Amino acid sequence: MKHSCHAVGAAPLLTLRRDLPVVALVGNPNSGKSTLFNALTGLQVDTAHYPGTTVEILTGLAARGDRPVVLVDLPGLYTLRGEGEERRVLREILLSGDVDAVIAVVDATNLARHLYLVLELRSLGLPLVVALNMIDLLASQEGRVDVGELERLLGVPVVPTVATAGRGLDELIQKALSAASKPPPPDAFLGPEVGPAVAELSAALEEGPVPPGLSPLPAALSLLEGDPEVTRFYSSQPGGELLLRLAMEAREHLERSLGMPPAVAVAIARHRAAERIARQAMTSGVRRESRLWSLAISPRTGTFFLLAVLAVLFSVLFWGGNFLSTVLSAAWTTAVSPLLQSAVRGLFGEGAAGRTLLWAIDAGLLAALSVGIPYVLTFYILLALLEDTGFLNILAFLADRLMRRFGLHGRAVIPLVAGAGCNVPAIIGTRVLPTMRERTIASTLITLVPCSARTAVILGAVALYLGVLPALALYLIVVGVIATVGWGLGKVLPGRASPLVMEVFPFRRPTMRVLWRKTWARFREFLFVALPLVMAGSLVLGSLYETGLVWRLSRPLAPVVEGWLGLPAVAGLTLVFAVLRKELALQLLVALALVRYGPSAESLRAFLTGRQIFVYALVNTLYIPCIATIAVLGRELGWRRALLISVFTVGLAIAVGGVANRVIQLWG
Amino acid sequence: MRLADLKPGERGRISGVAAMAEFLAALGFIPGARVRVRQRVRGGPLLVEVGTSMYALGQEVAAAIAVEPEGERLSWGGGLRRRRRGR
Repeated sequence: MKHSCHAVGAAPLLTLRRDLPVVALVGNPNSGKSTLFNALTGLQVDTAHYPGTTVEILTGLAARGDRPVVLVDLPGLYTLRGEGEERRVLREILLSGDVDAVIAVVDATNLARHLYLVLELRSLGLPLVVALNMIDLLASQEGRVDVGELERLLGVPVVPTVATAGRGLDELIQKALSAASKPPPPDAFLGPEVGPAVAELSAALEEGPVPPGLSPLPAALSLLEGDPEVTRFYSSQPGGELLLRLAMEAREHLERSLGMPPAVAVAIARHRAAERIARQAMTSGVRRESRLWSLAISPRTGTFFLLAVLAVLFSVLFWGGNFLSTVLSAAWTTAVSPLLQSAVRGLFGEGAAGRTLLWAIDAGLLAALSVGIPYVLTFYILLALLEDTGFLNILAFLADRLMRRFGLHGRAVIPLVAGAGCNVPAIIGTRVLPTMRERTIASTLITLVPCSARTAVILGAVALYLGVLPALALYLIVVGVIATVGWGLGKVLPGRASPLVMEVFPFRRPTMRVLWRKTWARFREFLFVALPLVMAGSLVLGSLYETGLVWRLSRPLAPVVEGWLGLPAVAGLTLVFAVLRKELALQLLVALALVRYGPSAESLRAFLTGRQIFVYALVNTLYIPCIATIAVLGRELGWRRALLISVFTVGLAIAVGGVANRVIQLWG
Repeated sequence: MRLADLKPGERGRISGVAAMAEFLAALGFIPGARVRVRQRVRGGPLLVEVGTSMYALGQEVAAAIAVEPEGERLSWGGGLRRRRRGR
C-alpha cells in the first residue's frame, strides 16, 4: 500500500522549507548516524511519525556553507530488504523523489559489513555520498583507508568523518550538495552468476514504465529478489504480465542453477563485492577488546556486572531522583508557588476560577517538573551512557533468557528496572525494543512497577504503621502480579518475541558533548509532550474539585471502594486524585479525612485499620501510575493502547485489592 | 550440525541458513562464512563472531543456521555442562 502524500512532507520543517535541498542519512545501527545527525543539525530538530506508522523520522536544518540543508535522519537498518515497517518507510522515503541526496554513514572500523548497505543504495542509483565515520577509531587501531581508491571502487564520493568531534562535516554536506545534481549510474555490484540475469531482465524493462523513483536496473533487481511492491506495480501495468512472467522464469532459472533463492544469491554476491572493495581500499586495524569487556560479556562474571549496573541505575533514580525531587518541590513551594498564587489571585480574585487555574499552573507544572528534571533527565543521561559505551547490548545479551519468559527482548531489562525510579522515562526507554508488541508488553509491565512515588506511599503507610514485613509482602504481591501479567500478555498478544539478532561491539569511549546532546534532544521532547498534558489533566481535576462535582462523582464509586475494597469512600476519592502525583495519595487522604472526620483524623491510624492501610497502598501501587505516565503512553504507543492499559491496570488494582481485602479478613 | 550446537570457543563454516536468510545474509551469515562462538548463556543466546562483526543471536536464530564444525576443540567443561542440561 503506497501512501498518497509525499513521504517526508509529513515533517513540519520540510513543509515549511520546500525550497531547500533535502539530504537523507542512512546507515547501520551503531554506525554513528544519529551522532552525525545531532552534530550537523544542532538543537533545531523536529520529530514526526511517518504517516500511518509508528516509525519516527527526525528532521533538522544543517546550516553549513552558503545555504541551509534539510537533513532527514532515517531509521538505522542493516539492509533495505525484508519485512518490517521501518524498512518499508525507508524505501518509500528514498524512492519518493523528495530526497535530493543520500549520505550513507559507515563505521570505518567495520567497513566490509557496512559497505553492504552502501552497495544496496548504489544499486538504486540514488545520488550518494559515503561518510566514512569513526576514522579516528580506525587510526587508533592502526588501520588505514585509501579514500581515493574507495571512491573509485564505489563510484561515489567518500568523506572521512568523526561525528563525535564534528570533523569532516562541512565537506560532507558540500559533497552531498554537489552529488545531488549528478546521480551516479546505478551499479548492482553483482558477480558473474547473478549479474547477467539482472542485466537481461533490466533490458526487457527498458521499454515500458518503471516504478516511481527506480530506473530499470534496480527495478529488475527488485523483481528478481521478489520485492512485493515492485511486483505489485508491474501486475497493475498493461503488459506487465509478460514482464512478470519473464522475471519468474529468470528467478526459477537462477534458483535451479545456484541452488538457492535469487534474493539470497544477490545478498551473497553483494557481500563478496563489499569484502573485495574493503580489502582493496583498506588495511584493517586490530580491534582490541579490553579485559573489562571480556569479563562483562562472559555469562559467569557478566551476571555480576548486570546486577551492579541495575543496582546503580536503581539507586541513582530512586535515591538521587527522590532527593532532587524533594529539593525541587521545596524550592517551588517556597519561591515559585507564592508568586503564582498572588498573581492569579490578583487577576481572578479568590473565586473558584482562580483556584482551578492554580491547579494547572502551580500543581500541574510542579508535577511535570518534579517528574521531569529529577527522574527523566537523570535516566536519559544514564541510558545514553549505557548506549554509547555499548554496555546496553551486553546487558541485553545477558538478560535475554529471563526477559524471553515474558515474551520480551533482552533489552527490556533496562526500562523495567528504570521503572522502579520513575515510570515515565522507562516507558520512553522502551524505544530500544524492536516491535510494537514488545513495547506494549514492556510498557504495561512498567506501569505496574512501583516507582519512587508509590514506594513513598508504601513506606509512609504500610512500613510506618504496620511494619517491614507487611511492606515486603506487598512488594512480593506486586512482583507476582507483574510476572503473571507478563506471562499472560506474552501468551495473549498475537505474535512472538522477536528473535534476538543484535550487534555487540567492544567498549567505546563516550564523549560528554554527544551524551549531553542526545540527552537534551530526548528531554526536550518529553517536556513538550508531557508538560501541556499534565497541566490540562490538572485543570480537569481542579475544576472537578473546586466545583464540588467530585463529591457527587465519588458516589457511584462507593460500592466498589466500600463494599469490595473495604475502604472508606473518602479513600477512593484520593485514589482518583493521586493520578496527578502518586505520592500525593497519602497527603490527600489525611487532608480529606480532616474535612470529613474532623481534627481527630490527623493520623492514618485514627480512621483506617491495618487491613485498610495495606489494601489502600496496594491499590495505589497497581492502578494507572499518573497523568504524566498516561501522557507518555499515549505519545509512545498511541491513545487507544494508553486507554486500554489504563483501564486494565484499574481493573487489575481493584481485583487484586479486593482479593487481598478478603484474604486478610479471613486471616483476621 | 547447527550453530546452536557449538560450544564457546568452537568454530564452524556456515553450510545453510533456514530462516530469515536474507536478513542474516546482510549481516554476513552467508553460506561459506566462518563463524566462531564466543560465549553462550545457558538456555539463552549465543555470542557469535562472523567476519569482522560480533552478534548476539537468540537460540532459535542459531538453530536455523547449519554449520560444518571446524577444528573442534575438546572441552571437558562443555561436555559435562551439556549432560547436566539434558537431565
